[in-house]
Amino acid sequence: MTEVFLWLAITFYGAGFISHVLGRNGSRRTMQRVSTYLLILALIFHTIVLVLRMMETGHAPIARRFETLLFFSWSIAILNTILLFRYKLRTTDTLTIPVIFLALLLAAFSDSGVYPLPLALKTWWFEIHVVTSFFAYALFTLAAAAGTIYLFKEKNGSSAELGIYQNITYRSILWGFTFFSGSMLLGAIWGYLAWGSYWLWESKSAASLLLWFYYVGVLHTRMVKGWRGKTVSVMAIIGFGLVMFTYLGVSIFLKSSHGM
Amino acid sequence: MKKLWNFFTSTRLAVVLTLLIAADVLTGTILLSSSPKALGAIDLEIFFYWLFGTGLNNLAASWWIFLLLALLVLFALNTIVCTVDSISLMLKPRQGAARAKPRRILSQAIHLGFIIGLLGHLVSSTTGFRTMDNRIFEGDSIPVPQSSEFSLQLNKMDVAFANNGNMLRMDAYVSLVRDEKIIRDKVVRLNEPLLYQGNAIYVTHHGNAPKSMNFKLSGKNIQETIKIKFQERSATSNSGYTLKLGELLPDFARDNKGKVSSASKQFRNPAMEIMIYKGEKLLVSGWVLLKHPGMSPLTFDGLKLVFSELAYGQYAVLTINKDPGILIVLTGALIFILSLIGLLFIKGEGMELVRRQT
Repeated sequence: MTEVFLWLAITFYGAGFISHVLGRNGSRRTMQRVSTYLLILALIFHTIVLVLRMMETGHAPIARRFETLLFFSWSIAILNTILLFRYKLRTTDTLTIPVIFLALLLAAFSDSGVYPLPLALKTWWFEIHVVTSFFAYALFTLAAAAGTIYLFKEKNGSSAELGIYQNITYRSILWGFTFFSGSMLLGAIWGYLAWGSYWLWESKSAASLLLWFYYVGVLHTRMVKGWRGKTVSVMAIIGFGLVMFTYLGVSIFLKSSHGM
Repeated sequence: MKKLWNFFTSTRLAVVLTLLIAADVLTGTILLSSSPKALGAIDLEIFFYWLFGTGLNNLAASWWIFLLLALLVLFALNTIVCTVDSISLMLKPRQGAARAKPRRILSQAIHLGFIIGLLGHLVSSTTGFRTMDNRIFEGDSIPVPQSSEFSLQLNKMDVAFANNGNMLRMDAYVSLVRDEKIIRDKVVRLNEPLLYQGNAIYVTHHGNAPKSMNFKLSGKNIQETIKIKFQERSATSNSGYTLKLGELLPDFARDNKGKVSSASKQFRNPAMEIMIYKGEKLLVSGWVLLKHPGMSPLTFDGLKLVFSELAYGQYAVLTINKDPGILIVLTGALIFILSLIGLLFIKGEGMELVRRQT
């Protein structure tokens, strides 16, 4: 059942993206409306997948790669929905929906077996640590999307339009950094309670430290005259690469005792 | 001096330093994964002891940590100077100077939180202790490391597994004892350590293993059982004889000249050397074969000592740590995060993800 809804979500995100691209110049309003409905349906199916998974495993869907891919992409979809309904903004969809689509596709081909949770992970410290970190990753993804659009529109866009993308980039990074710092604090408390140390020198923790300092740098960059627009946008895009390195790269290519 | 001060107030410097730190830690992330032999023990010791011991001897794998420390010192200086500079500007009541707006105050509170957290980490990295592999059998007690007035007693281990072999619980019922009085009882389990006066006690493993060797002493109207705990290595009988454990040979062998040795490192035929004393005087010594109770009795003073059994017991492996910096780190982190959240709430953009068009 989970698989059926997963493929429905993938299909609807795909169809929503195609209709969004076809209707993006604004002259085809019907196509945009269709895209909105398709994406809302996709999010509903996506949410059903998460709920079914929670019922299957008995814990938040954040313990294995299959689950974190579902949750990471769902967090981005939630941000897209906030942007759509609160700010009537859809341009970042052009870049964020492909990320959601690819993450779900990767999930569909990942091991979706149900495995018991190790004892150390049976604590709400773990759950909120992971949930906050994935919301941070989603916000950093949105920042990168806005940064990319800023770079594309830099020459021809109006200053008001460019200001919006700068603002999305900065605010998303500030929000993401807050979530990420919270996640690191929660992880530190959990680590202290579980293993006797709030910090462990292993690849995943080190990559998180790298990400944290990187975004400290990005937030300070905005305060330097002449580095605001283009520089911050480029840094937001590089930041997304570092997010992917921390989230997937370390788990796939390096040895880490941290798991997902 | 002013030039130096101005250099450290620079936001550009902050950006450059954070990016250098990020690049350094990126290298470290890879080295941590690729050099488990050199860096694997880093979490087992107090950080600075490791760094200036093992770390210095493995510079090919640990150089980035030294660089990280140097960059962190510069970044901390940069943060402190910026904070002092901003606060002094806020306090100056002259026209045109930066006013103490909530945004500015919160920004400096974030800096302060970071510095406090860093100081706490310095305390954690230089003081306290970490001890692992403290094995304790049910009913036994061990002294708490570096807190000799305390001892830790394991009352019971409760371990349960599901049908598929997965562990359901690993509960260690422990008591913290001082002056023979129990001052704290606690069920220590994963994610629920016993915390007391800065000491933190964790259960990490459990098992069932030989706990003691039991002997029967007989003759001259004496009939008694003597138990020697492996942990204590000796025991005195009611009749005044002291039994001490000697060497353990994994694969006992005796050549034609009577010389004893181990034929291999495999535990094929383990044997324990036993020495029997009366007061300070050694009466006799010999070997008992652990897989063959009842064989090779030792005789002395008209008595016979026979190895009767290996007694097994449940044990817990505990980690006992003391980290005097943890509360400082948490205080700094809380100030940092609460100020960040405050920054998201302040007037203007408020909680908005995007500045709303008016």
